[in-house]
Amino acid sequence: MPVIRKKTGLKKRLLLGLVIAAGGLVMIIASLGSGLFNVADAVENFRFYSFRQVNSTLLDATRFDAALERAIDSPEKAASLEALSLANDLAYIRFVTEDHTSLYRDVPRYLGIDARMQALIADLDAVIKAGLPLDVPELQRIAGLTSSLLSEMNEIYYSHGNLLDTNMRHAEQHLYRLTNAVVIALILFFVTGAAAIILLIKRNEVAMLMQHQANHDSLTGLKNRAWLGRYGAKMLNAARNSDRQLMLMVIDLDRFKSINDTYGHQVGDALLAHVAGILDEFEEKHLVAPVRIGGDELAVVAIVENNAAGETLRGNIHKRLNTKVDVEGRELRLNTSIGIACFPDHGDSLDILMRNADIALYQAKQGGRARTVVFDPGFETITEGSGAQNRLRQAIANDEFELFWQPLFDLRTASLSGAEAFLRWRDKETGEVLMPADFLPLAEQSEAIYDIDRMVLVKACAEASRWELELQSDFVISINISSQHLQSGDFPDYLAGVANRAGLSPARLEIDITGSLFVADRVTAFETVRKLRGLGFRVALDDFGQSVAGLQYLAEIEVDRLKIDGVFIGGIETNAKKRDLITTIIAAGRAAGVEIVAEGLETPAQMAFLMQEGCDLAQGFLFARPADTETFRAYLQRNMSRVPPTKKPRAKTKTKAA
Amino acid sequence: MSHLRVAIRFCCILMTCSLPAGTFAAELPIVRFEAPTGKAFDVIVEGETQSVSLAEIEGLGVYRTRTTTPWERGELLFEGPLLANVVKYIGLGDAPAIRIRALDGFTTDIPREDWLEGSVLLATRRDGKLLTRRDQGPVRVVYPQINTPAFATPLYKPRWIWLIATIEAVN
Repeated sequence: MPVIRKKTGLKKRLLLGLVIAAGGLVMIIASLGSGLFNVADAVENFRFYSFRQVNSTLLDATRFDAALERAIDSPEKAASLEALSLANDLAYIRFVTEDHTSLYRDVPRYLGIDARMQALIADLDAVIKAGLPLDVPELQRIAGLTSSLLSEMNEIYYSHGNLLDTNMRHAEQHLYRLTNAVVIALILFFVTGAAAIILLIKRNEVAMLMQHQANHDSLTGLKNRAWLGRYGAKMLNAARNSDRQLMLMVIDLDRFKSINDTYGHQVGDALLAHVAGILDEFEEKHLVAPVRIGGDELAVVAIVENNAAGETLRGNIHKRLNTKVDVEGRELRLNTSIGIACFPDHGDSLDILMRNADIALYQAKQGGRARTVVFDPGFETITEGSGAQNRLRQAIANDEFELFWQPLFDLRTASLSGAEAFLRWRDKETGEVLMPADFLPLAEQSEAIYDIDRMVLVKACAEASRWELELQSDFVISINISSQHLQSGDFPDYLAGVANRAGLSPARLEIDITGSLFVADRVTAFETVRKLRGLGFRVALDDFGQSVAGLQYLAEIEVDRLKIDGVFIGGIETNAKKRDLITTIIAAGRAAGVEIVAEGLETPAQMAFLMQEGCDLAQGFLFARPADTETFRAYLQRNMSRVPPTKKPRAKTKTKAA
Repeated sequence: MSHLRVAIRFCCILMTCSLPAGTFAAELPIVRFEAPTGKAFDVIVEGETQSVSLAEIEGLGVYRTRTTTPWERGELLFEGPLLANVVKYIGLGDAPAIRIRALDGFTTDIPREDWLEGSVLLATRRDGKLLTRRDQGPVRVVYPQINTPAFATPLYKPRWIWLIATIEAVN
């Protein structure tokens, strides 16, 4: 429909242009015409013929006068009579026979002359008829009248000449103006024509630009969803007509939201542009087209010869999109998940392909990061029935998670020195409180784990900042973060951002890491720990002894604390081997220069043993069970007596939620 | 019979209209007068002046035409020999043009085409009467404007010379 609108617009504009051109033409013609009429009038006014005619009459009248003078001088001579007769005949022809109608019209003042001259001619005829000797007094009378008539005719002749001169000058001016008008008209024509051509060219440029903008995304320069709507079907038809496959790859940047939150939208946009640049390299006219569908959702539509070619293409793209990239001076770990649907196997319309590619993408994300999944009809039922993930997402959206806190005691000073934050899911539907072990494995299968981590961090920091002023300077809050998140590379910066926004000093925060972190990507893990500590955060090696995390890491990385798993502590009263191991671990920690924390302390005997062995800190049911935020605030108030009292509205909400 | 005559006349008119110039001589009716006396004009050939009488030129055949003139009112009836015949008679038939001087000093040149292409008259009479000096005589040039409309343009106006005194060749 926009195309049609554009066409009518063009028609309208053309019509307007024609009307303007016609108007201009009429004005120019009118101007030229009026100039021409002026010249024509002037030419009419020249009255050359009448001027010459006046001259002729003047000539004959002069001859008439001369013959009279001669006759007066010698009235007896026959020659005088003959001359008089000739002059009178000539005058007769001029003043009587000749038609002077146009002369009267052109020189109105001449009108009386003819009649007066005709009277004189008649008088002279009478004198001539009388014969010799001539009647001198009568001749003198006629000569006197002729003389005054002559001066009058001369006066008319010169004034008419002046009039002609003036008219000629005017005509010249009119002609000059007409020439100018013609020149200006021609210039105007040229300028108008040139302007029209320029406008047309400009219009075409703008139209092309508009079409480009309508079909392309401004941030990345890639084709956009509108383009896909317009040309996707064409590509599909091309593939159908040439017995080839159409591969639709839907590409999603993993943790894009987190990158946006950590570094700001500028970096997020730059990353998108970077990815777009990579995809752009794969573009082939009419064959491979990268598209930005919206947000961080990208796609590649490609016509491929066969399965093998498609596999090569998607392999190449996947390889290029899962790497470390340098964006705005930051090294980011780029991970992308790709969902693929192909014509004709997975649908024969673009909509169906798009839906199936989305389902494949969802599967890819469920299976962890950086995966490429090709659509399989079996997926549909799985996704539709996969309620647990949906429930989890819903819970995140509904903010059904809350933090529980367990205090940490310094055995050396017998004082409260920190707290560990634990996550609980208070299911709104069932009302039951779920432990991390119940839902974290599920969350870790998808991107939900990032949302959960983010939420934990924000909540913990917000809470800690409430206490900060009232607490001892060495009061530390421990937070558990998923290994996936820690491995993302940008976590330290993200954490710094969150702490900064909450106004919390980094020294207050301790990130608990487990040995499993080092299994997947040691280099990144070491780098993350180093960065965290570099930013002022504390790092604790958690679950020590429970997993593969061993003493070896103590030698390789710098941490602040070592947390002995509760499994080791339980039963040490009766198990001498455990006691020996703990002694060894504590000794190892000492050697590595880290503080030792004992978790899961339950009996006074255990505490006594640990104190004796020189364990620095401990937490467990012996001191306190993990308590919800509200309870823990009260606990802190009792034990520190400097924590501010809870604000009423907040307390109410919490109580209700509990 | 009368129908046939009308048809023939109509055909003649049509033919006349479409006739090419050059076959003009038959267009004007010939009239006869008694041989006049008196001089018509002088011919100057190689510096020598020869007098030509009215009887001589009327002897070449007198034609009549009714025409308007650029100088006078109304339609006038002129009679006189064809200029072409006169020019031939006075031996200037091969001249590209003739120069005619009038009694009052006015002079004009008439090119050969004029007398070849139309029945230009050297009029000696008006309404059958010989032209006097007062009538612009004894001879004057007459372009039959009604008979040959091509003559009715300003170009020919100064060629209507009267009071003719001399004729000579222009080379």
